[in-house]
Amino acid sequence: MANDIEVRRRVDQITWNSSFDEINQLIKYLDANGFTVDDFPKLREIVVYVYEGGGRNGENPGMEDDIAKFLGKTASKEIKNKLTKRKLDALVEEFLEADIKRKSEIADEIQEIMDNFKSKYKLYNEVQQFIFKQREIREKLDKELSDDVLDGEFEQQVVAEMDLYQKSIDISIPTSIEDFAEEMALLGADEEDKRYIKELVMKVVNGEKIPKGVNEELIRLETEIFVKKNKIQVEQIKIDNLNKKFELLIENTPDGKKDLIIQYRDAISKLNSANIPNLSDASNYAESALHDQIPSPGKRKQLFENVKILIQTVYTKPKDFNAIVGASKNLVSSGFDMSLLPNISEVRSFQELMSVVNSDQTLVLGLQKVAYLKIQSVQKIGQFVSKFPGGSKLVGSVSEMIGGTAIKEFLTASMTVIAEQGSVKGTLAILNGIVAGSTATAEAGGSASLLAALAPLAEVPVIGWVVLALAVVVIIGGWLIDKAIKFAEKVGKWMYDNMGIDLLAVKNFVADKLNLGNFVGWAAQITFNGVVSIFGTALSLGIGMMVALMPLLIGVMFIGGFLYGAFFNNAMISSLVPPPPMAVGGTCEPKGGAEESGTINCNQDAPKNETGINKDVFADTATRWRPSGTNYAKECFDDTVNRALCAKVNPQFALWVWLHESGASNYGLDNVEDFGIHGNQSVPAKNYDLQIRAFLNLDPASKCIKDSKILESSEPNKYWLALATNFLTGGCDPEKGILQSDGSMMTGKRYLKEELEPQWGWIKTGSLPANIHVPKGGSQCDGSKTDRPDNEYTRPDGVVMVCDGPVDENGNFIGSAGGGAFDPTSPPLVGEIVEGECSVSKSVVLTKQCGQAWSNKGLPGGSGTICSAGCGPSSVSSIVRTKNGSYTPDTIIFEAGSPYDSMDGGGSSLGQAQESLTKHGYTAGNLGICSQKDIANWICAGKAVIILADSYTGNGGNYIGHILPVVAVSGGKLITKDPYYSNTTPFVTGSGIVAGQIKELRQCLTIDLKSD
Amino acid sequence: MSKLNKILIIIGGIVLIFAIVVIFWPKKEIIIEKKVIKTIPASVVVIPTQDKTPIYSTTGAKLTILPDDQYKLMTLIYTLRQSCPINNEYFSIIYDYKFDNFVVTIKPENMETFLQWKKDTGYNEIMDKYWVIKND
Repeated sequence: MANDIEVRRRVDQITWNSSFDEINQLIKYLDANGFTVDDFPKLREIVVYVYEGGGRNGENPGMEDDIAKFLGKTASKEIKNKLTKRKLDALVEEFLEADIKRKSEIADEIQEIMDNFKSKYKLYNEVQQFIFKQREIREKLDKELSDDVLDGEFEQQVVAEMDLYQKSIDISIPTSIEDFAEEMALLGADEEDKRYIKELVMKVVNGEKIPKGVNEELIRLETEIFVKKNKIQVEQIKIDNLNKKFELLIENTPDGKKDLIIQYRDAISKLNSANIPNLSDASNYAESALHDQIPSPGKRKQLFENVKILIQTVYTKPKDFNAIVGASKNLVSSGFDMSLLPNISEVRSFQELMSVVNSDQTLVLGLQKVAYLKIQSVQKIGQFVSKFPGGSKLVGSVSEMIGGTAIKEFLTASMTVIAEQGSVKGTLAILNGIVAGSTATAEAGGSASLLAALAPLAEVPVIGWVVLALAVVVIIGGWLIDKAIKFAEKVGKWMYDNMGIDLLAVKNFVADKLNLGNFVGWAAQITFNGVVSIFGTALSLGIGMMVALMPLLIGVMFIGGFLYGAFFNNAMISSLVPPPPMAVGGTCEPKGGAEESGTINCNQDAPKNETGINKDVFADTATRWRPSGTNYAKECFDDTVNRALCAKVNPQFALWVWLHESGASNYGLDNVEDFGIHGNQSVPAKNYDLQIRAFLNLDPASKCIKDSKILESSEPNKYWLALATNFLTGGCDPEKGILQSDGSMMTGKRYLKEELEPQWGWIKTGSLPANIHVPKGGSQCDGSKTDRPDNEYTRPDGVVMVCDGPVDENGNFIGSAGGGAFDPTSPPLVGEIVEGECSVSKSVVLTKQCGQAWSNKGLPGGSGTICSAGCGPSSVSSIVRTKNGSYTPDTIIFEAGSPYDSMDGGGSSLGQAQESLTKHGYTAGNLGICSQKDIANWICAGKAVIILADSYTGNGGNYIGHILPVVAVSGGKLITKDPYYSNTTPFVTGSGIVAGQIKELRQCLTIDLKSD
Repeated sequence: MSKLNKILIIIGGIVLIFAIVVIFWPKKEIIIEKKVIKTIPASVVVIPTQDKTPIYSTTGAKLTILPDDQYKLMTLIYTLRQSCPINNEYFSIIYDYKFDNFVVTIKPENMETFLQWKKDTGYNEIMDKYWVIKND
């Protein structure tokens, strides 16, 4: 199997100009390596394009077959249906020319295609269209051919197809989730399949993750279509499911707090039942648009949930929203442990929303109220104006601002803003944007997009009445224009007919002879008449026409100016809130994607601690304790010990619990709870990280050590009796029995005597200590940067986090905010001088692609950010900024005539850097291969060198392509000003590989630093 | 045979004989003195195929695929640059990193040897603008 890098490399070779052969080869290659084209959105676009376009060069060697096979695997319904449609069309076309025998074969083929779809209604349209065409054919045949040409077999075939057609239209679309699930379940071969399909349907309905697979994907697509058509019912089911998730918690909560939890649950339900626009399409759009920018699916989902609940918020009546906030506050102030709430996305999103409210309640409630009123007013104005002829067209884009096509941009931009600024700042910025039309964070790409998405809406609250007036003006204006033109035409015709003078000669010439259309023709005629009038030639004729057209001119100017002012001039509307702080940095997430249960998530590179416990012996014990399945005793041993020491917990105790409860995370066992944390929905089974975090926060003995039942017990070791009792039962009665999975009853006392005491020595010889507490030990308890590249750090709990830019050991982004838009008067920056024998570093300003104000700006090609793909323009910026400090990477990319104007997440080349530097007056040399010696000599000749190299990403030997400037020679080493890595000595010196060091030089570009 | 015909035959015969004499008249051997060019051992520089495999990057780097002639030129320059300084009994070459050209120091009488070396190695494909000739 090829590794990911190799696969990616192969995928990146496919371009819009690639041939069918190349694409087919890649599809086979992906298939052989367990990938699908759907794993690579850009490739998918190319495949669809090439397929739909029928090929760029007219070549088509077996392409459709391969594509069809591939599509069968990826189950992309949209493409699949198009393919089917094309096949059907082709067959019908062929049918027209075919002989009787072939006609019969074609009918068979069509039947076969339709049989491939067990659920006939999927092909409703295709079948319908085919039948219609066939009817035409039949009629044609009836007319043109004699009766004996149509033999009996063909007649039967036609009848059969007509029956099929009839059946297809008889299939009723299911109207309930249950019916739909039943319908889908028919696809299953046996009962187990059917049950599985029903489960999948319900998971999709509830927005839960489903397993990957062709059939699963088909079911997801079908279900989403159904959900889209049956939104209200689906929402109700979600609310019912939400209530179910709370059932267990409510049952186990004391009466005093039960009502508060119910209120809290109802508050979430209330928000979820808000009548918001359909977000299905927008969600898919955002998913695709942000795929590269936010690679983690889990992160994207959470961001979507954040924005969704925000939309629900602004669609909820302020009075209701106040009650919702009150319910949340009541539960929090009651001292309820919020971590006990169900760990589901609705709750998580709601809690994040409440964090926003808590940041400034007065402000948020105020913004919510204004936003709600604004949206309502937009909708009402829209509804009113729509009643006028043409009105719906006018207000369409405004009234559907949140609820129409623009919702895609709104959702995508909002997700970006929250990703950039976090949920609190991001949500405030979006609310501010809805209310005031200004996000006040123009430097952030997401905010700028959001601003653009909200532009029409921004005008409405202040000039709501203007929208109405505008509608009237346009309607009346349109009438006037129409009348004026008709009048002018009549005058022109009369003069031509009666006097032989063609007043509309110019218009007719431009519109008809030049084929530029009537609008341009009229514009030319008006201009001509104006000139004629000014110079006095044919004065009467000119004036005649000008009089006729004057209302048109005035109307156009008036309405055009009005429209321009209303829609395109971003009026300065005072903001209700101060702008949120400028975004610096980005976000971090667990390396390898969101944390999920079922896969081990300990820190396998955790620091080692000497405790006298042998890892191998422990692992052997774990294997013997739970022989079936596979444990993670060796992989997570160091992490368990280190975390326990950091938490001042005896590591032997942690290891014993881990061993006893789960056989050291033996995930081969059903629903195994790594550290025995049970009944807390925030701490799922098979989740090492969450389990140990919860476990190390427990102090079971302290809860019962003073309890009379413990004190009165005959057991001499009160501490451990209290601990065993509370850990086992959650209570303090050592005689209370708990039903075990094998059907036996276990008490706290027995747990101590029969399990804890005898098994303690399994870990390390010796008797039970006085208690589980030890002095704080371990290392990297506060997070770490050891062996991590600039953009990663190890969280205190051992989880490796990967961030959008360079961070310190606690995940704080390093770097200061940079400049914004280009300022021609901005002074030059001076580079930090690197001491050495030869240096041009004073002429190169260290310019980081990440952790700066520009870092999260989206690239013009639609994917990626400067942080993720801006090493090229950042390197150029580092040189040009010494001439003018405002030439930051974003300016380099977005300035007029930039060679980066279509750059996307795929990055840029040295060729583009060469072009950009030349544009800025620098003499860039030829682009070619070079050696370290060459670079040193060039620097000593006063030149900077931007190189393309294979750079190591860490000490593991992996490497990536990277562009960076080299600026000095010092002590025999080259010195860089790397836009991404902190490393400055790019070539491995023998003391081990460091991230950013260079494996291989690929290309060099010299720059004479004396610009024009 | 008329008198006129006789005359014509005689004239034709004379012309024929004259032509044969001219054609077969022994020619004087022309000896061209070959100038001996002193050469230095050289072999043609082998240009490796351009690696056009796109690179994988997470920071945004792409490979620039050079046109074949440009790639060949840059490879020749790179190869010669790595060989510099070159010193032999006929000429010497250094690479000037400031102006990005090869500086050849040579006596006029060795120029042909230098040109022959360029031809033998393939460096003659490096355009004149990359060469600076200095009299030794």
